[in-house]
Amino acid sequence: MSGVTINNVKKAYGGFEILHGIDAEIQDGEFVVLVGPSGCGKSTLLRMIAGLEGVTSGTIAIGDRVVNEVHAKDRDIAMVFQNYALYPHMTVEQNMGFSLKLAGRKAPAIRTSVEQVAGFLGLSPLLRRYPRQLSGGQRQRVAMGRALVRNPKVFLFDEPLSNLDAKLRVQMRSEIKSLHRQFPTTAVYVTHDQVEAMTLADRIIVMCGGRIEQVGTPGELYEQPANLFVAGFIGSPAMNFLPGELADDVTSVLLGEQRVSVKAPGHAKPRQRVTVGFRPEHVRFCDSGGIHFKVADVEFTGANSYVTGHIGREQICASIGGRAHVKAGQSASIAIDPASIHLFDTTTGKALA
Amino acid sequence: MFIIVLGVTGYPLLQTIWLSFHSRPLAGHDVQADWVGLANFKTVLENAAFRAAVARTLYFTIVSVLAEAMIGVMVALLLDQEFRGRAFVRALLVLPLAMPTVVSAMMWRLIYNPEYGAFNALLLQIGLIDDYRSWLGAPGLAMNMVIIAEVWKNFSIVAIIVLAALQTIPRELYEAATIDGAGPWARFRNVTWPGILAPLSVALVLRTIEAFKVFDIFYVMTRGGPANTTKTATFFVYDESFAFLRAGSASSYALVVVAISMVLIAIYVRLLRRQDQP
Amino acid sequence: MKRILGALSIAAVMAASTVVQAQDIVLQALFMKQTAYSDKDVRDMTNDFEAAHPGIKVNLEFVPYEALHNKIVASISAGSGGYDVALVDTIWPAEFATNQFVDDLTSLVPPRDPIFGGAWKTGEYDGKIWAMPWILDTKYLFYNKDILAKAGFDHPPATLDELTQQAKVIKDKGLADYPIVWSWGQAEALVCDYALLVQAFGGQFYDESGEPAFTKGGALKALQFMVGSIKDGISNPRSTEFLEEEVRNTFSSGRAAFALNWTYMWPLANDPKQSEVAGKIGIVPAPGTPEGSPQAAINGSMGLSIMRNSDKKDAAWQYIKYLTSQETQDKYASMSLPIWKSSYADPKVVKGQEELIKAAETSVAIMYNRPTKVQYQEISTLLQQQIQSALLGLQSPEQAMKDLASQTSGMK
Repeated sequence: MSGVTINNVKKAYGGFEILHGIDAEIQDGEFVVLVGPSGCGKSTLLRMIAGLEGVTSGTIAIGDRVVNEVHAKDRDIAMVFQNYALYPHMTVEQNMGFSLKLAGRKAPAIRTSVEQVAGFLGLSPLLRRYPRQLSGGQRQRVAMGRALVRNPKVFLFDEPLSNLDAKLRVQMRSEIKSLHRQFPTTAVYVTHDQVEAMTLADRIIVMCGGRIEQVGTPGELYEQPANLFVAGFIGSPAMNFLPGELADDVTSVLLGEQRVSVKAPGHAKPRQRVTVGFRPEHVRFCDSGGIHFKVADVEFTGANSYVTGHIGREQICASIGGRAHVKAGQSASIAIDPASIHLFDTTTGKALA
Repeated sequence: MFIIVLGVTGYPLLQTIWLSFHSRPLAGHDVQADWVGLANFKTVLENAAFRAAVARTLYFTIVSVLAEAMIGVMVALLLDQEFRGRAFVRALLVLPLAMPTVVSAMMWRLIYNPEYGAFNALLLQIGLIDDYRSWLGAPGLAMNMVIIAEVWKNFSIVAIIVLAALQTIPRELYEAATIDGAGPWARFRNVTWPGILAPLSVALVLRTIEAFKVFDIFYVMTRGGPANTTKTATFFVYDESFAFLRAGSASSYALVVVAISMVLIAIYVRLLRRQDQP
Repeated sequence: MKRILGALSIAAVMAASTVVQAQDIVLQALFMKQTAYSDKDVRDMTNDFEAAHPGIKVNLEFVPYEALHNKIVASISAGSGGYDVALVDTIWPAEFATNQFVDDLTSLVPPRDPIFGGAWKTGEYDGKIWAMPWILDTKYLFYNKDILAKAGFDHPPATLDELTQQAKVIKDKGLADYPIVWSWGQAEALVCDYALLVQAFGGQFYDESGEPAFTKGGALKALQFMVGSIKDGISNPRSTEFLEEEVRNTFSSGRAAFALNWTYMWPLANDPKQSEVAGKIGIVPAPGTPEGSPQAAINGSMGLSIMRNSDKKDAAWQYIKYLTSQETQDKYASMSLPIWKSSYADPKVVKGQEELIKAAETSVAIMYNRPTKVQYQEISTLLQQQIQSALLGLQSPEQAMKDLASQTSGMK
């Protein structure tokens, strides 16, 4: 087992650069999720680790070995694909044992390994079936089994759950998580779904436009987003943003006509244009003296109610436990806990911290 | 619909079967059919020249279809790669198919022409022969030269079908195989080949049936010569009816040709079933 | 409304019927594209005919000679709507008359005397005329005067021995790789060349009692001569895949000193646009042997027949009469010589083709006929195969002819 070290990796197609120097350190046994909107380069990065794409510049190392020039089959990795990529003419057993067979292992040894993994994944009754005879979830499990059988140094997952329905996705997510707990092999997992990232990852790498925006544990990303992008990307419903201006004493911010006290860092400048961010769950309705809020819509989901409305012209969302006591069209007053307010430099988008 | 199909295919077939048990001139003033029982089939099966023609046709069928399969698959694999002008080359594939058999046969006859044909010129230039020679006039050689023309005419149907099948194979499968440790051959054997096998088989079955019924390419290129060495089974149906005016025995020849085709198809179907088993 | 519809339909019926009345009689006619008159000649003649006969139109169809017989047969077996007029080769009247594919024209044809006897033979079977002779054709020996002069010969060969001897000298001097070219592909053209040689060697296909005679005498010698000439390298070995057009190509490109071919090669090989030997060639009757016939000529004539299932026989006969008339034939005499004896004394016809006419005077008089058999097609098919197997060295000439005799025994 070994970690993955990515050092100033760039990728260009015909002079068009899509990864602009990625640095990342993935620890041995760590479960790291690459997350970002589509086109951010996360899949490309994963495929470069797999050896399916060349590295334009920089180095990728697995353990201590730089693998830029190492063929995919010699990198000792296993990959689970979005569409499962099971060999349609092979049985489940043959699919799972294929890499061992190519590696020249003897049939009885292959059988033992496959049966062991199959038993573990609950695939034993399906070993003689063909992929076309399996459900989506079963295929996904076979794909994972195929990766597990190899006992690789690194697992790579390329959006493995995106073809499953919502319920199954949640179930498979927890299965992957418990699997990793039992086989703590280094894993790199690509997804565009931040919930998947939050639930699965030891650490998350957020990417956008071919760059890393922030690396951190789910808690760090949620609580201390480094910039507007991460702040907006992580969390659902998304963080609210309001334009504001720091007061002269930099202890409060002007939101429209309302003054809200904040904790700004020492280097903040008076009268600096800032973006004020706060999460919907940190919004509280108060009787009076708060920020004037015009309710546009109320969505009740059971555990929570999402109240959308406007502060001035800006739309924001509030998440209230249980039922909300406001109605659409009503005017209300809200308060935000100063400790939960995030301040971002409006020009650079960086967090003021 | 069923009745239409039955009428269109069934009536001529029944007519042919009926005729095969009769002696009847093809046309003329007194077209009278006399019941002769199995005499026509006896004539057919006892005809050594016909038996030789069947063997010759089988040779033609097997060699040309195998060659079409090999060349077709190789060309499809090449055209599945990215390269400049690929669309143009792919479009070129349609050319031999679009050409009527008679036209391509004429073209190949010109190419093989012993006095001024391009084939002689080419071989002379690269030093394989030192004098122009006869290709379609030499027994033994003529059959193989026609096979080349036939393969040229028809390999592209195999190539086009295989190319289409190749494009339905997901790229992920190749990547999964690469990561599983498969080299180019193992990828071909375990991803490409299973992916193209079914459509390829259908193409080959169709080609085999077509090839066994071959007539026009030989009619134009060799007329069965030299010395009957390229006379295929269908020539006997043609000669027996339109040259010798015997509709009865012509029908028997036709039915025997059909029967052999059906045996070929049956063999194919069995092979395919076996392929399908794990 | 009903009344309007009724009036309209009556008008439509009337319009239709007037169209039918005004419609021309349309003849379907089948010709070949190869040797003798070209497609264009036939089209021109037909245009003139249509101009002279308002009310008759002719649809022309051209097929290669090799497809002509079976095309006729197929159209007859298909029932009505076939051809009204078809070009018929001299070897078919026996079959066509017996099977009643074509009409007896005996009562229609013009008096026999002004037309060559050999021409009449074309359409004759059982004492009746089934095809009006049209193309009077036979094979001649064409020779390249340049090559002969370079080889030191001042005259074309008069006998087959002399042909062989001249060819050997030409080959030895390197003037031509293979001095003689023939149409020995597996087709009727091969039988024509063979039959001509059978005549030259004084042989016959069948004796007086109808027994096969091709296993012996002149018929066997003819085949032995063919095989020997290929072995000696004086005949082009590629001849075994040639038809008339390939013979013309080879001869016209100057690669052969001698060629046996029909009349049509004379104008074409003399046409500088199509030939490299234009103006350097000669034509004589094919040479024979002292013990057989001093010269040889094969009857390759063809005639025009009216199909039995035609329903426009009057118009069909008018068309045939026009095409075979002396006037039409004289006009197109350079592609195919007229069947009319007096044309050969007409300066307009003779002019420019004196050499051809001189050869024709001898050849037409001695034209040899292939066997008149109802099952000729089958006999010929087997004959072609056996001759080829001997030419290609697959078996000896004796064995080939013996096999042929057993294969064809009992055929009518």
